[in-house]
Amino acid sequence: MLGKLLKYDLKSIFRYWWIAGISSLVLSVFGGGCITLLKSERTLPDFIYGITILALVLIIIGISVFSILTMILILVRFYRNLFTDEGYLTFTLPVKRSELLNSKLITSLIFMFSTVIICFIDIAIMLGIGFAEEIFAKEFLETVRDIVNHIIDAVGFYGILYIIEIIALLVLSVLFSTLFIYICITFASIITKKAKVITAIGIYYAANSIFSFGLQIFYLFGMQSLVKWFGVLPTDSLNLTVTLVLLGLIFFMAVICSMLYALQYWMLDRKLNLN
Amino acid sequence: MKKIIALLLSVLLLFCCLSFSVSADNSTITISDDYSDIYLYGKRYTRFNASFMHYELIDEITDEITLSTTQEIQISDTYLAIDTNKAILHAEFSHYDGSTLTADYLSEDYIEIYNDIMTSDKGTYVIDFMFPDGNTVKTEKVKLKGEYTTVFTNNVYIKDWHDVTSTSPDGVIEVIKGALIIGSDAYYYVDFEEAKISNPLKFSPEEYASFTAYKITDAMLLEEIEDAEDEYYDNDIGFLLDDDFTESISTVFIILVFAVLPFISLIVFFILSLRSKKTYKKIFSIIWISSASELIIFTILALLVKFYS
Repeated sequence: MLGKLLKYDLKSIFRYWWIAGISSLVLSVFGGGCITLLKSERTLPDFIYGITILALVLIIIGISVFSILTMILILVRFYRNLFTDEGYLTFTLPVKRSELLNSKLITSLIFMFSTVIICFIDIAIMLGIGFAEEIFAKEFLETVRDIVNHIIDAVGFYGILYIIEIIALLVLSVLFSTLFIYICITFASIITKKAKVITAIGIYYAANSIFSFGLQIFYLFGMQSLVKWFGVLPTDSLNLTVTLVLLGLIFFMAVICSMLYALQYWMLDRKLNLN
Repeated sequence: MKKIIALLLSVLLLFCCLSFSVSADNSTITISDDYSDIYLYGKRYTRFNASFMHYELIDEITDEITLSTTQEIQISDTYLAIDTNKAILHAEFSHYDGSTLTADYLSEDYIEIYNDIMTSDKGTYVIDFMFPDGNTVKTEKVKLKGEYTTVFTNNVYIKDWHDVTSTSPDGVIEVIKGALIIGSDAYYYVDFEEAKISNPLKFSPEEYASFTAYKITDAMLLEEIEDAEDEYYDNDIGFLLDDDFTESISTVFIILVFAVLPFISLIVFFILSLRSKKTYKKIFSIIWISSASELIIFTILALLVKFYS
């Protein structure tokens, strides 16, 4: 049943997501063209420069909006599918609450990562068109190759571990931010029957402020010791230290995400009343 | 009477013409054909190696440069900038063949002072920690030269390094004589002349597998360096709280977040997982296993830090 749920969740979001994705790719091509125009040696009238710069700014904003739009589509799907009239049908399906939640989370992961990939492609297209001469010059490619070789020499086998750990951290970060907002929406739906969206935004704002405050306190009070402690470790144990620190962070995030999942599941399972 | 007035007017006119020609001369900028000298505001600036200098370029010189016939054929563009004390000139000459010549020039007023500072060990040596403003340690070279040793960078972790300079009495000429290296086990002084470092501004001890240096042993100097270092690493709330107190709070915080809380969640969710069924059991199991793993990682890191400190 999870597969079927995923299929409909993916279809629902993809219906609009692909339009935004294609638009951002097209915008990036125009962006590359604007960069080429600004860099050209021909003397153009001032107003052309002005319009080109304005166009470039709007294009960059447009590409940034794509990632925000993805998040909005994910959250709208979650809200509509579970907390509106559609929710009545959803909860009558012969599926577990955990499968409903898992489907939403997997969908959000797929689209968030796809959006990141598309954004990288957008940047690559813009820079590739705008700075074609410099990027495809032999010296630049050799410099890039040297940097990559230098990094590989520095990290060695640990490079593969770093990549795995960073991907794991990214997945957990996306899960954390998604679950955080899901909990705010679910909590708002539990405590109020009207103006759920406004209430959810208010709860998110308050919770985010508390979380940010806690993070600031940690940074202020915690970082000093961390910097001093890790400063005594010798250089040749740096890779091992970084690997262990990343692993520790992964487990830390896993604990937080699991707790948020438990809370979200409990609210969906025991507390939600759509009447 | 008329003759006297005529005479006075002639003298005045002559004086004005002379002043004009002298000032015109002073406002002229010329460059010698071999680029060894620049004449600016009536002063001569001689080409020198500024790699060992601390200076701040603030003014771009936009006055017209008078080029010779030979130079007009070669030079397409010139950029000149001068430092705050008008002692050092930085020049970039672009040529029609696409090449660029970059050179630094020192005012004739400071050449002797510069050479004196470069070649002698006399005077006050200043270790500048850069932050906060004025955080410096003043000493003599003899106190910096403690125990001569070789530092291997894979054994000694290099935390930071700061320039050691010798300055002229008026503070205009600041020559970089060496670097204070803050290692994980001691403080070291690297003398650039002895170590034959040719580009001090780009010096980075981490790029060397090993380097020779003097381990600082003078007790008073060590205390001053430690105080300056503490001030350098002091954070925003340091002026409210004592450093030791801030560090204690920081240690407690780290232990709370990475040891105590995971331990509590390990116990709590382990018990909950035993008492729960199905989905809740799975979720609680993930939580207590992740907490246990985090606790193990933190313990390994703490043991590593304890071993090396």
